[in-house]
Amino acid sequence: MTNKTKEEELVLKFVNGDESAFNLLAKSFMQRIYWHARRMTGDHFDADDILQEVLLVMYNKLKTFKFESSLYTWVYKITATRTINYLNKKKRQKTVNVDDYVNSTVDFSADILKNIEDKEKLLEIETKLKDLPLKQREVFIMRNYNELSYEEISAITGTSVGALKANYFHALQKLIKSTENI
Amino acid sequence: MNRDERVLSYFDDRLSNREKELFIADLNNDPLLNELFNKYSAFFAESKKLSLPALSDDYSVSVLNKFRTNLNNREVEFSFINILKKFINGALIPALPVILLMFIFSSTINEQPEVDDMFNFSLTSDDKAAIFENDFSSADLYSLNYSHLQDNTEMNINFNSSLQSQFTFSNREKETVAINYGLSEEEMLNSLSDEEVDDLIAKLDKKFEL
Repeated sequence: MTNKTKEEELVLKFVNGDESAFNLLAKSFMQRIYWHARRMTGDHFDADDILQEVLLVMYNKLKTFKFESSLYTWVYKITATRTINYLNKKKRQKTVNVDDYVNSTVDFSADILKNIEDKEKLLEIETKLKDLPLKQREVFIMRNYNELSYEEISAITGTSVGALKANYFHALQKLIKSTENI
Repeated sequence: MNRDERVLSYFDDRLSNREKELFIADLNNDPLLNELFNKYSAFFAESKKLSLPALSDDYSVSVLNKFRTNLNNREVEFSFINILKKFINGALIPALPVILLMFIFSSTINEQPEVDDMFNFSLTSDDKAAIFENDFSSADLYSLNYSHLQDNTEMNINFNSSLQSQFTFSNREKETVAINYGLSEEEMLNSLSDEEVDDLIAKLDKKFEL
C-alpha cells in the first residue's frame, strides 16, 4: 500500500469517527513537525507547543482536507505558518517586556534525542540557525533537512522559487561562515 | 557567477552538464574554488549526518497524551465560544444597520487630509511620526529590500542608525513585514546598501520635510 493510499484511508477513517486513525496520522507526522519547529525555534519547549498547535489544527481541519495537495504539503504548510506566527508572537512579547529576555541556550534532554553521534555539533548548528532571518532559516531547514524541492517549498510558503533560492543562498553562506570554527 | 554561487549551484544541482564539466575542471585549477568546495562539502556532510534525529518513544506517547488533554479542554472552550457567538450574533444583527449608519456618518465628518496637514507644517514632530506610522505605505521600502535580497550576492552588514531612528514601525506593520518577508525592522535595514539607505533618507526627507 502506498503512503498516499494509506494516508487517505486513515483520513477517511478519522472523518468517519475512528479516533485511533488520528493517532496514527499524528505519529507519522510528529517527527517532521517537531524537528521543523525545533530547528526554527531552537528550543524544545517551543517546538513542543507548536507541535500541539499543529495537531489541534490537523484534528479540527482534516474533515475539510480534499487531497488537492499531498497531506504532507498540507501539514507542512500548517506547521510553517504556525511556527512563524509563534516566533512573531514571541518576538513581540520580548519587545514589550525586555526584562523577560533570557539568553536561552538550546536545551535538549538525552531521552528526547537518540542516535546522535555529536550532540555538541547539533547544538552549535541549531544555535547558529536561530541567528538567521526567519525566511532564510525556513528555506534552509526545508531544503537541507527535509529535502523538499524549491517547488514544494514554494507551494508551502507561497514564496517564489527565485526568492527561495536567494534566501537559501544567503542562509548557507551565513551558516558556513558562522560554523567554520566548529 | 562568483565562486560561492558556482559551488552552491553545483550542490543544488542547478548547473547544466556543460557548466558541471567546467566546474569540475576548474576545481583542479582554482585553489580558491577548491577551498570553497571543501568547505561547503564538509558543511553538507555534517548537516546530513545530523539531519535525522529521532524522538524517543516516551516523548511521542507524551505528545499524544498532552494532545488529548488539550483537545478536551479546547472542546469545552469551543462550546463556550459558540454560546458567546450565538449571543453576539443575536444582539449584533438587529443593531447592524444602526452601526453602519454611524460608521458612514463618522467617516464623512472625520475625514482629514492628513498628508496636506503635514505639508502645511501644522503638525508637531510627534504628530508627523504618528502619521508616518499609520500613513506610510511601506511597500516601496519592502520591495526595495526584497529585490535587494534576490539580486545582491554580497552580504551587506551596513547598518545606518540614523535611518533606524527615523523609523518607528507599528506592530501591525512589523507583523506584515515579518510574515511577508521574514525580516525584522533591523534585519531589513541591515540588508540595504549605503546608496539605498541614502536614497531612502533623501526620499523621506523630501516627502515629510523632516
